[in-house]
Amino acid sequence: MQGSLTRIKALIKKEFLTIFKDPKNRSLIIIPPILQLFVFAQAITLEVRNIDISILDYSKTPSSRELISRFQNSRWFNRIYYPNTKEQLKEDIDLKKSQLGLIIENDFEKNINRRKTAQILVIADGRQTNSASIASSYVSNIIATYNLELEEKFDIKAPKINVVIRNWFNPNIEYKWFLTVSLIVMLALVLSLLLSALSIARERELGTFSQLSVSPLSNDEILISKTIPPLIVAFVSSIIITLIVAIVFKVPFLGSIFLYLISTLTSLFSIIGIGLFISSISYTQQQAILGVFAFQTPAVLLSGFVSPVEDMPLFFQYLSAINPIRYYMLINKGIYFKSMDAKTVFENLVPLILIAFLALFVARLSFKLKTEE
Amino acid sequence: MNNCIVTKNLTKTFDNVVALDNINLKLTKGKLIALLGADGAGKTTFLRTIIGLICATNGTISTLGFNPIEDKEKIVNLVGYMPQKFGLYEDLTVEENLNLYSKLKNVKVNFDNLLEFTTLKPFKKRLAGKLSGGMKQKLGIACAIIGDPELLILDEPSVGVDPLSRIELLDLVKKTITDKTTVIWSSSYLDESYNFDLSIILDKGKVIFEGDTKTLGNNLVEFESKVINLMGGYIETPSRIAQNYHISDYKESCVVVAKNLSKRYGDFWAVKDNSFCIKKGEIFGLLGPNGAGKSTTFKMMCALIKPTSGEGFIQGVNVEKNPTKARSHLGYMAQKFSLYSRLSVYDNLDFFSGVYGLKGVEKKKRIDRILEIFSLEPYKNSLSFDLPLGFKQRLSLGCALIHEPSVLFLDEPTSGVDAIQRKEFWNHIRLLSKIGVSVLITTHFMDEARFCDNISLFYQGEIIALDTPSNLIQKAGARDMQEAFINLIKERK
Amino acid sequence: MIVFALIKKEFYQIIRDPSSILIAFVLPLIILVLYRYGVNLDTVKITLGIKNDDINPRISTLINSFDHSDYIKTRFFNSKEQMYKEIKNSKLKGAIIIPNDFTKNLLRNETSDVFVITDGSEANLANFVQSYTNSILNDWLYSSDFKYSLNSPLISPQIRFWYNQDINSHYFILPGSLAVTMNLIGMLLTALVISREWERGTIEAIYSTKITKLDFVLGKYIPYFTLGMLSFIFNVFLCIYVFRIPFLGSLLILFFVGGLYLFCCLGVGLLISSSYKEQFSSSQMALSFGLLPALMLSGLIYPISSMPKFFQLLTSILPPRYFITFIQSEFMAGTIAKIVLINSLFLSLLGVGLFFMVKRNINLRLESCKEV
Repeated sequence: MQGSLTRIKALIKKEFLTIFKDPKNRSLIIIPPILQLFVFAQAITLEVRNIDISILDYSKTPSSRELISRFQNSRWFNRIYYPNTKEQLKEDIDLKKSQLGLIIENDFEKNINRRKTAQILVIADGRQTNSASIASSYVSNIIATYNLELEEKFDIKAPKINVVIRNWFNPNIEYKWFLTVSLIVMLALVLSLLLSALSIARERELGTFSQLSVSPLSNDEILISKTIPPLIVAFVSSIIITLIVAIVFKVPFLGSIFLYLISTLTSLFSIIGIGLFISSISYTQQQAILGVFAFQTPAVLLSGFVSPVEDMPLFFQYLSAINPIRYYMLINKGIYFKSMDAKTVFENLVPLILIAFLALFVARLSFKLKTEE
Repeated sequence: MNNCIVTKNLTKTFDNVVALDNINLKLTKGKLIALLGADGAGKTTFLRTIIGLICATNGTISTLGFNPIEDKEKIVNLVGYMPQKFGLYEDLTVEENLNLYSKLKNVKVNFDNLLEFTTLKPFKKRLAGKLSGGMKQKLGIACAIIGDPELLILDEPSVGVDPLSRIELLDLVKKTITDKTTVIWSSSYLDESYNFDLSIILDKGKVIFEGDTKTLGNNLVEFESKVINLMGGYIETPSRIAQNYHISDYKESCVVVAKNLSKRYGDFWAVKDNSFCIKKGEIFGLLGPNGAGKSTTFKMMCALIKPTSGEGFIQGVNVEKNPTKARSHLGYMAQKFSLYSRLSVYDNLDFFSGVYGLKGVEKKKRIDRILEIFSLEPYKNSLSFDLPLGFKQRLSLGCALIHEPSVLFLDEPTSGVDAIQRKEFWNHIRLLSKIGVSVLITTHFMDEARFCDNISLFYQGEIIALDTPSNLIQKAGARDMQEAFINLIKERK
Repeated sequence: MIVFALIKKEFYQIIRDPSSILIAFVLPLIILVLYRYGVNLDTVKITLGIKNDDINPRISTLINSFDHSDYIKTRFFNSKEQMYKEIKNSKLKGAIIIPNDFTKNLLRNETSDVFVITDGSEANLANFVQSYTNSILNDWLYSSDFKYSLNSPLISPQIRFWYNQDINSHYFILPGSLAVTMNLIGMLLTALVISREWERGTIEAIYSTKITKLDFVLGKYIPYFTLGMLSFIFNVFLCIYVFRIPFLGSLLILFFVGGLYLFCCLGVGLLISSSYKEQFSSSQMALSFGLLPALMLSGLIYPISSMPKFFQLLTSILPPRYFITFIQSEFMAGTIAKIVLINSLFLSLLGVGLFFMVKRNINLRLESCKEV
């Protein structure tokens, strides 16, 4: 037992040295995650800003001009084009000169004055369905506000519903908050997976693995020593990224720090288990990298980051039950934003631990098979 | 224009490291030239400069009358070049490789002829990667001689090849060339020079000898000591590794035992019914042609692969059943440098001592002693990747000895290192054996075989002879070990 | 011809290495299946909690509206605290609270409040919750007998989604994901092919023959272009015939512009490969700089026009940006000459530029020598 500890300590120390001694390696671990965090946080938003709109105003009346001025003053809209014919408007949209089209018929003012409903045709570019539906909801909002003012103006007595919206945990629904906290998970995934998946494969390719194999280190000792360093590195890196998100991007952290650390550690452990499994079945680094890729893409797509898990076909829901990123994403965001309670956190930690041990167990098996050859 | 290659003050440096140091040579056409020297002596750099793959830092070189930098297109038409690792596409078949190179050189070749005398014909459809070591070399040479070049450059065609196959390779080259062809053949085996018209010996980027080898001595031992003198001389001092070296007092007569070891892959027996016993303090050599089963035996003895049948024991411990315990008595040095090249010398020693359970003051003491004995102190903090080959080899030995094992397994430990360092290496090994360390070693240097107490000669997975070196020489009716090896193997064929 | 020999050689290597076949045909299949069935951006069904404090038969039609919505799954609560807890533990994505004076106020022609709570930690779902509840409440109000004086708003926008009437996000995500997949394939295939020759030592043997720079570069481009094109055709086939994504454009034009795009992707891969002598570094580069930007900064999901100016400029050197614009338009709107021409022009410029950069990187020596 005593000897075993000394051996494990020596191997762990060596792993740390290989990760950090080489300046090229060191910078590959430190720079890309932080660079990506900053670039994506700055560049990416689901909000649709700077919308260009083409308005075909057949009515050309004070009411229609008033409506148009609302678009001019809106912060979402950028340029307004005034095509003269439907064909021109179609061309504007076809060529992506503008993302939205608006057609105001010539009976617009007449209808309003008669208290009859005036129809406006809003055309959205469905080739970018996502942005189009967001942009068209801005149009609906502008029109709805104008409607209320008109009703007031005409003194129409009608009941109204005032929807009082409270966005908990993120009052202004800033996409950046959502994105940066999700990025904590994704960057941790990439780093921990790369470190663990390459570690055995690299030793195999460079021939140092045989030297390890003839030493008194047992397979279990090797596996333990290969788990701990990536775990520590990825853990520290996640904490640094979390701090950047909380301090630089000012996303408020509401949960329990203790629960957050525990669940980060458990999640990383589970990812590293899978990384070591990939590594143990790869002969070369190239194969390991392919394996990383084959795991990573589905893991992120099925994690609930892009669309909710409950919404997927049953088969994918079952598949995502063994996806550690799904649980990690859920509890990470839950604790960070909402101070999720300990019971729910532990409910999600159980599958993570099961995945970790299952992966390490399979890694251990294939590990043994490979040393045979 | 009788000169094939003329250099004037040719110098090449890489990031302030001198690879070629002021070389002045005039080589006449139509000769067989051996370019000898240890790894890192500058052989490959010199060959690459000849055909313009890299350019000189200073001085001039002219190849077949052309400047290799300006007229590379003209030179490539006249030169056949086989780089180290042979330049073969391992995922292409023999035929496809030949086809590719004939197209690249834009010549029509009679493949049947070429395949016939390289004896590759039966393997025409086999992937190059699936060929045995010797066959790969033959294919590499075949690709290089396509288009009947005026100058044939072969970089280490005989590396890792047993003496018998080495002679076959040279014969092959001799058969394919005309009187006008110049051949430059680089090698780290000094003994190969006897078969060439002219030898050039490089050491640390300098030419230390140019001329007929026979002027340096009539046999290898004499020749080697002359070369050592040219390199600056070597005075043997007793190795201090043996001082304070404690080995366990294991009482049985056989420290290492192989009992009917066999390994079968499909229908093929890599090793068949192999038994031997290594006594305390014995140096036991495993010799044999490539693919004879030496490495497989080695791996089974370290429990790296599982034998199909039979057992191995180190100090009475079954290696298969209790590998951790068996290996704690074992020091192992792999064929290829397999320490962590991105770690420093100190970190490597620190790591291996930790893995063998050393710690605290004792660990520090041992590391310091290894650094001192192997003169590694000045390199303590350099990456082992940056070490010269000789020092890498010392470090490997140091790591294998750090836990003072009573058994040493050495797999081709001296390939590529220079004559002086080989002498130093054997100095350590002999002393270790004197204090009782048992050594299992494989080598392709037949002159090293004379240091072994017993030799087991392997052929096609079986032991064909097991005896002391002098008895083997006598039995084969040979003058030296090299001849004995060739004779004994030929007998079997 | 030397080029032919090189192409033949590369083909043999491709055939014998199962990983290239895996990359070219299996990987895209997996990715397309994931995008088709795993990713859903529009018809998201959201679980909402409802607490109704207004016990009034008139409200049952409103409750029915929520219950029957395709986008909402309802759960009813009696205790607010319980409901809030469920939001906190991510079991609910939002909550609706109808106050006890709701119908009373409406009957008095006054304004009634409805409280909607969203889980802002899921920013995009929070947006869905807002707009779903808003439109359900308003539709209900105008159709209910409260609004006798005006049974529809004065100005009523009719929203039409051109090119995608059904508002099916798969129609734009799948073609768009082709761009990302092709980028990945082009890169993974080529990022290692030159580094590999360095590592295996074959480059030396090749360089000491009659080969020219152009031979070498074409010998890499042509085989992987062919493989990439086959993979592209396979992908398009999957999209149109297996996943039934409507295609209004011309296959000929699609393959032509696809070819230009592939030419760019191979260029990026070969540029990486020709800059590094170790496979490890090339694959690191390909992974960290080749893939994520293509996904995040290409306009596939996140609109380019919303980015800060600097990043908008940055995206203009990314080939996927042009190809995504083209392929979505070609699938959904049919061939629009100007879109085809402009995007092909930029792709050609980038492709040719990359080609010359790759060619410049090839030296035919093991180091660069100053010409004497």
